[in-house]
Amino acid sequence: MLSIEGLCQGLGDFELELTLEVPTGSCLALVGPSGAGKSSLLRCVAGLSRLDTGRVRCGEDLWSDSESGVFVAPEDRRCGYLFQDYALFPHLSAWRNVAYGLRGPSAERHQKALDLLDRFGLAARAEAKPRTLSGGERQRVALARALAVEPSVLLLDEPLSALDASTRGRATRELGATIEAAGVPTLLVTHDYEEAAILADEIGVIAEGRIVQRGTAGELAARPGSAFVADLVGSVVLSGRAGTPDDAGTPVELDGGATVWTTDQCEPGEVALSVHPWEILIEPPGSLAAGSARNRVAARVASVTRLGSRVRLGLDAGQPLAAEVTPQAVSDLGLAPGNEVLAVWKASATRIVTR
Amino acid sequence: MLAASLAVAIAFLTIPVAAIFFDAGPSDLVEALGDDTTIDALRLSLVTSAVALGLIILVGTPVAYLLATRRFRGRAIAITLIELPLVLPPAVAGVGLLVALGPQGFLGGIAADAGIELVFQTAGVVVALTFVASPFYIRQAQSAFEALDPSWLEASRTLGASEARTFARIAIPAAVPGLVTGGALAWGRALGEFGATLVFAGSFQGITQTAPLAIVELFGSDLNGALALSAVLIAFAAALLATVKLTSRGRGFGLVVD
Repeated sequence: MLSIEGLCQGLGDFELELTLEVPTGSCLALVGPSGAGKSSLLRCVAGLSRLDTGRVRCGEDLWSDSESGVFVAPEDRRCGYLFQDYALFPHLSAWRNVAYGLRGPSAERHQKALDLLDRFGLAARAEAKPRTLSGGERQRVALARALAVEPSVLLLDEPLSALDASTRGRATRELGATIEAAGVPTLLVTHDYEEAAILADEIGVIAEGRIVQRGTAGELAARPGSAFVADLVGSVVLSGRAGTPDDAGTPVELDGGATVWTTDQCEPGEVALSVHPWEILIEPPGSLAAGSARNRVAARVASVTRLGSRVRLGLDAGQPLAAEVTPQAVSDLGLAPGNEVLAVWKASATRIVTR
Repeated sequence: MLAASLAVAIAFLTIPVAAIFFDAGPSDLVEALGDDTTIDALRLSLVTSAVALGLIILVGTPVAYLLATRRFRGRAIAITLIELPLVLPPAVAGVGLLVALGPQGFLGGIAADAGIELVFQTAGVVVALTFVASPFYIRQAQSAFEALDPSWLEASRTLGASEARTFARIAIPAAVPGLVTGGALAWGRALGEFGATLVFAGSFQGITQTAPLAIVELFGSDLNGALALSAVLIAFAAALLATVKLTSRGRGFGLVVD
């Protein structure tokens, strides 16, 4: 369990002010625009910055406490910190980067570093210098390096944003598996909501140094507490299994039933799809296909949340889904929690976010 | 017009250097190098400048790292004070050293009590060279450390390395090209040092007479000797300049970051 209590840190225009807990084996993502104080939080946890006020503890260990003046040096905290640009040591080869945090006889360190690189499919690149590695390879070396110290907590700063679209899918899957296997509290910060929705068990939306809402991706999409959260959450992420593509697109069998189509191409297998709530039309249950929209999914209204001039519907379609409609539509269709509806959207509004 | 001014500038700057090699024949130069005065001067120059460079690197590297990575009160003043010898006339530096460290100087008494004699001694030459050359190294080293990505140093800390280990294992190796450049510049300055050495340590053959001092002394009696020494210094300076050019382009060390 990683816990941060009453943290308060001046950051120029505003203060970072939060209290949060991340249970062992769970991943909390903090999502917010850049400059919201996300990286500063990771730095406080890692001991790279001192706290103005507050307390950071990891399990039984007290790491920082402004009251009693306790401050454990970063080298004694064993944080697996994945830096935004990976921060690989430029003068050391891949395996020496990984071995940097290891202690013991050099032959043993070498072997352990090679084993870790092998786990990330990089055994052949062990002697390569960072500048000769691709973006995806750098990310995996950095991840192997962070795991080498057998960290008591994982801190991930925008772990995928430095990667180009072609390597993101694989990197996302691997990172997800790594987080799960590490079995420690993981704190991830990102400006990319989809990244958070795919990787994290729970998401905290952070704005100007405060957590404005915390919940699972489905909860946030269905019941955003404010227009800010609704805009940030943006798309809904659905998981499923892609079938064989044809000329018209790729069929995806969603976890929890229903098959939808996307115009994106991908290899058959596990995928995540994203769709924007404002692309989803709500029709009465059982209505017949009348337009060009190809995806028609039966759902139950779980929540109705007014956000200024629009209304966010939380839907349960085997997995959480959200639609955005006008207040007029809510009254015309008599929408209320518990109603059965049909969620309808176009295959071309359905994006594959991992490949 | 522009091309012409470039040609004039290059000619003006290189012709005196080239003239040294053409004035006397190569055989005359080699013969003149066998002279006691020139051999002593070269040996002394090499030894004193190497010792000075060692001292500068030993103390200057942590100083440069501190200035590059920490923000503290008085940092700007500290940087300015360290740069002072750059703009100080060398003769003035020599007078200052003499007043401070000479027998009557306020630090000279302490040094004398400790059994250290500097004035008119080889050790005094080292002090003068260190004084004038250290800013060249510290400035360059500081900017080399400032150019490091701070997240490398932070990553090192999170991976269990103390601040000292981070300095030794990450900061120095990653900054090596800049440190080599700084070392070469400081060494070049030390080899050419004249005024401060003359005032503080004098010009005694074999004890304090470095190559530049010997050149001036030989000038009246043995022009070929002066030319030969000049030619050696030019060769050394050229080698240092080439080192600077190569390392600043990131060649040869494989340590430079894209």
